[in-house]
Amino acid sequence: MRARYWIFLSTIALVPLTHVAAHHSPTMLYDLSREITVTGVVTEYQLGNPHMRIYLDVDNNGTTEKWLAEGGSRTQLLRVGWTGMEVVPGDKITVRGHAPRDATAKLIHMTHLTLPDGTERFAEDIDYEGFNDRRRRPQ
Amino acid sequence: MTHTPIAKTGAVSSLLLGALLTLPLGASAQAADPAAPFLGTWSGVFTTQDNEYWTFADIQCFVGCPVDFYEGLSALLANPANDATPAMALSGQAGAASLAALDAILTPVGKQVRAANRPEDDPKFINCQPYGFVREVTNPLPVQIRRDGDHLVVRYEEWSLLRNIYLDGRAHPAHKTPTLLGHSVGRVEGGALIVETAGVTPDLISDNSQAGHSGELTAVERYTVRQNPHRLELTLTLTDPVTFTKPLVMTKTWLYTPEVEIVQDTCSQQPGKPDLG
Repeated sequence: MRARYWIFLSTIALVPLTHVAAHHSPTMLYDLSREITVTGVVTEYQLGNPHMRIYLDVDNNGTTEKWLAEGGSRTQLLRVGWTGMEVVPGDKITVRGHAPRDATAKLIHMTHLTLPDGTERFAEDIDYEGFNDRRRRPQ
Repeated sequence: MTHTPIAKTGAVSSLLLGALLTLPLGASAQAADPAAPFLGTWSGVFTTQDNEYWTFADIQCFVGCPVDFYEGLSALLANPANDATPAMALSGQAGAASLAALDAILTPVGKQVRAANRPEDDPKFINCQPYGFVREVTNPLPVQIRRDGDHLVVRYEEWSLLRNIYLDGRAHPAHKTPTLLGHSVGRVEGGALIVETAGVTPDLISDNSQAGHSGELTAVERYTVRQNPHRLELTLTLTDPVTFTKPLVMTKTWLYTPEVEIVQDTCSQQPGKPDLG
């Protein structure tokens, strides 16, 4: 079922999902300097391995777009209190994060998830941008 | 000849004393385990991100990376002439150079494998199947190493895989069905833990490069423990005559984190169901 779903998504999204695999570095897929926000309705949520994924339908002027929001690692999120029950299909959510390098991709590197009750949660393993100034090791 | 009770007591006392005297020697022998420095729980950046040891180059290498990339990026970041250039741009430079170097050592088969690999077709992602040897050894999640008799047991949080590293001098078996993590033998040499692995199933070297290796892969892991901070450093040398014309050398570092608990990993997640492992 999941495999078929993936193939379907890959087909409609062409390039964008081709690199969503394993613990890749986000810089490979995403422009960490460009933040976007997407609001949509959850169709599937997997606190999955290796990464958490939320599939959502996004209304773009009457056209429904299939988006994938990719968050942090499963066990790391479990370690900080995630349960896999944060959202369910039908929930309206907002995800904030980095835009894909491929501008046509319906894909977002989700750093923050706003739940239906308005609560915002950090959804990644680490704050990658927080390391931009750590150029050299402290002496 | 019979012994008086006093004589018996004396004999027993002597035995007890002897036993007590030998205990510290036994304890010393255990403490002298050359593999002892490598035991414990070690973490990558995910569970230790506040540690000031980590640099931008370490973050870029959180799933392991070729040594030339890590050293190249570190050199670019260390050069004051690059201070006005965003770190990410420097990472792009180092990454392009490293990928070009990788391409240069790929055999024709290696090039075909890399070109043919498509992550969306990777069953290890689609079906939530564990990684192969290289990606598992360099994965970003915590790892625990413990001694179990004649071997070390490596417990990876990633996919909850266990791996034995035999330290008793045995050789790789002559005939063994290849497995995900292969067969590993190790020794401590000059303070470094050297682990040799063979008999792995073909898989990817990394997601970033999409380069692959064959079942002919032999790997040598060289682990060293360093201080300030207490950490484990890996140099991983991959030799595969099918896909590489010369060895590929990768690196990764973990910090010593006895406080970190290994979380059970599973592939049992179902949409809309709790997933607590």
